[in-house]
Amino acid sequence: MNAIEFKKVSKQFGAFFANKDVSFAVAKASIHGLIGENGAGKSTAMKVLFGIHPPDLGEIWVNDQPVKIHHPIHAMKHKIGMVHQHFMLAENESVLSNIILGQETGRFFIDRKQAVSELDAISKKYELGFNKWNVPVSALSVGDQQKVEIIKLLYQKSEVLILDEPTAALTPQEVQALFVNIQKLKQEGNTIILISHKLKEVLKFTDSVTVMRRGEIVGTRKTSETNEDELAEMMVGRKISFTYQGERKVLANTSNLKPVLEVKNLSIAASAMTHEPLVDVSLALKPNEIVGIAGVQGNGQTTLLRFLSNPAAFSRKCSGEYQIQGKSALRETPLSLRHKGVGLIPEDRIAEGLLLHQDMVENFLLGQHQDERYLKHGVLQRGIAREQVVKKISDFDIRPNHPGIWTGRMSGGNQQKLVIARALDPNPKILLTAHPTRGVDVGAIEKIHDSIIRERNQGKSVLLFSAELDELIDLSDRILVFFDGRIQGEFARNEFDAWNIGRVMGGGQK
Amino acid sequence: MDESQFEHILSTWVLPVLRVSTPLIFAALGGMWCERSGIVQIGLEGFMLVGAFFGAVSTLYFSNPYLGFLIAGIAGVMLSLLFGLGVLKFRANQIVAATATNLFALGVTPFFSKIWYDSTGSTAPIPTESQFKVAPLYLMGLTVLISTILFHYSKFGLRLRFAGEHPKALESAGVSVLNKRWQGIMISGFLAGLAGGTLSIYLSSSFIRNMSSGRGFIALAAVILGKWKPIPTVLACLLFGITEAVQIRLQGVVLWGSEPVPVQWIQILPYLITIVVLAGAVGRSYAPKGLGQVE
Repeated sequence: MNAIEFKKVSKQFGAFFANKDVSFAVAKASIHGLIGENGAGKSTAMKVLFGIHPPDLGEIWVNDQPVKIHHPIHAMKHKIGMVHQHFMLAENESVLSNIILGQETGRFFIDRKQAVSELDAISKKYELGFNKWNVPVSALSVGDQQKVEIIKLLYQKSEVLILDEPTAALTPQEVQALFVNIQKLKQEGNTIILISHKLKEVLKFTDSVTVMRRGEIVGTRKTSETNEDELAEMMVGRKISFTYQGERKVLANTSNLKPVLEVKNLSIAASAMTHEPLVDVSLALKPNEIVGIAGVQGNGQTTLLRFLSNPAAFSRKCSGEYQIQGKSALRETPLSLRHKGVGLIPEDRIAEGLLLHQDMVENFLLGQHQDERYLKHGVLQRGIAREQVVKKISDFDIRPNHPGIWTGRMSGGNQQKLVIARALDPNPKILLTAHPTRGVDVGAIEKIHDSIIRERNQGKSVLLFSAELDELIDLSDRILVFFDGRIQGEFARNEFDAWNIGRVMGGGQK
Repeated sequence: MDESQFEHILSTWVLPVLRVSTPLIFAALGGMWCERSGIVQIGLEGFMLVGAFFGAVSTLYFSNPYLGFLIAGIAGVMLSLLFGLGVLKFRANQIVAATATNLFALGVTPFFSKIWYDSTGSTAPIPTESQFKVAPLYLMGLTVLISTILFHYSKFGLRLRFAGEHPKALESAGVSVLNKRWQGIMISGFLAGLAGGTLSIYLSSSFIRNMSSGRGFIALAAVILGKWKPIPTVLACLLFGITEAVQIRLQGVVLWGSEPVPVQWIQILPYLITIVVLAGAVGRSYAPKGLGQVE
């Protein structure tokens, strides 16, 4: 029996087909992967199923019956539930309140006792080992918050659980625990649809996989009968290599090179500016190396990046030293750092990197407005900048290839390529890079990794912040793991091991 | 302490503080409900004014303060519906819409008083026998009790809190955020209208122009100081009530030298303390996460 079946479902936004003739089936009591690049239509398909966007054409069948789902309430009626990538939890409210919302126990007043006993029963049935019903959600780890989301669906009696990129913020250990729980759900007869772009996870944990590309279904495979290369080729439409294949130049002797960027005993207390304090952090970045910064989100990495890219803003709030090329950089601003050869690829390209309602040329000039190359008698020369943008468009394969387009109309991957092109344009000696491939298509990831390695091979220094452990392991020469505002462990390239690094990310010892 | 001393303290300190706190507490609880549903509410002042005006008018007309009090609340609801229409239906900016509401109330009350009493800005005095004695105090106590219980223990309270805290979570749980926000706005209109009623038919004996004189904003300050929770909000109101009672007691009192402190300086006190307390209270933000956000 199929829990869910899409029959020639189409969904159109204007002239654009977000989903076109989408047909696939999900067997009951199975774990089904749905993969594809950004904009491939996975999210649209799930929004159709969840009743957020009713389909224009085609039918959805639930348990082999045709149904109409035009509102999330209908989806709930058909026992379909979704764990969104960004959790739908109110941090200041208790776990219990978050779970029972909308289906509270009791008539007028909430019967907490009744609710607790129902939740305990769920926790026991699925062996989730969770009972912190009365603590506020903000006190829970990301892994536990996800558990709460899943319990919420089970409380709502959902039988089909859609998980949207569930592992994005988890350590490898938490990922493992999550999939143990998902297996339990499956054994109890639930159906799980897993949206992911991590092929390894999909291969390891699902029973079957459907691949989407450009709004259409490429195909469905039994997981046991496919492999990473085939799925990747289906996703992208061409062959893809996953680990960096290019040359990794090794300098004969880097140990006696002077560090270009050095932080000594840096401490920053939590304040209105940052919720993530730093405690006694020391690190040194040498030429010709990529140092990876790993850690579960919220353990001080963001504060470190903000400090490194704008130390002047922390002038009275930090203790310790920060040197660039041997000189104190504590009073530098983002602009003066740029003049000293520091390039920045910010954490969030939309909030911190781009003006979405401006074209590529304007965005390219952001922060480069004092660069002599683009100035003539103190006046910005947009024509010259435009020529440079045209050149970058072809170097980085940015699409669409028209410099006059608003960056808000570009895909995430192409936006990121522009941000990277801009950061590299003044030929920086030091590159501060955060999440360079977050939300970027598989095809573009290759190019971005290429350009980072190329910088390193040319003798540059790169500090790479990333939530993707695979990316850090692929690119870094060393990895520093942050936990609770400290450097919890350092790994040299020959010690790289995702499981061990994951343990240190969770607060364990190396 | 013998009984007469106790009565003395009660009548010179406790009762005056409770009396002047009454309008603040009604208005602040209204403001709290509204802001918790996710709507910024700086329109309390306007709701209070129409409540005060129509409360006085209907008390005069029916010679019944209870009916007048009820109509004060209804007048507040009417104006809040107008505000809600602007904010929820036409998606106007909440600050701008509330400012317009306040200005509207400031203008419409003298307009009607001119028509009905031929006086720009005030109503005729309410005869003593139609005035409240202590009833608003009990009604206030009841409102605090009901608000607290509903807020913490009812389904309604939980859902309304989520409308302000995480509207998307509420929506995906199958509950309409829009309804909760309408309800929050109407509660603020009703309670702020009652607050206005206490001003004109309990604390004084007629409506006078702009008689709320910033109390709606002080009530909002109490909501912020009370971290958007019912009991702390009420306590914050009492704090402001104390400063106002002190202010009234100090008028004409010779503190030093031979002259009393000019009354204008004394009257600054509640506002000054509001500023000082708020400036000191700003540390972590406790505001509802979705406050003021429209999809």
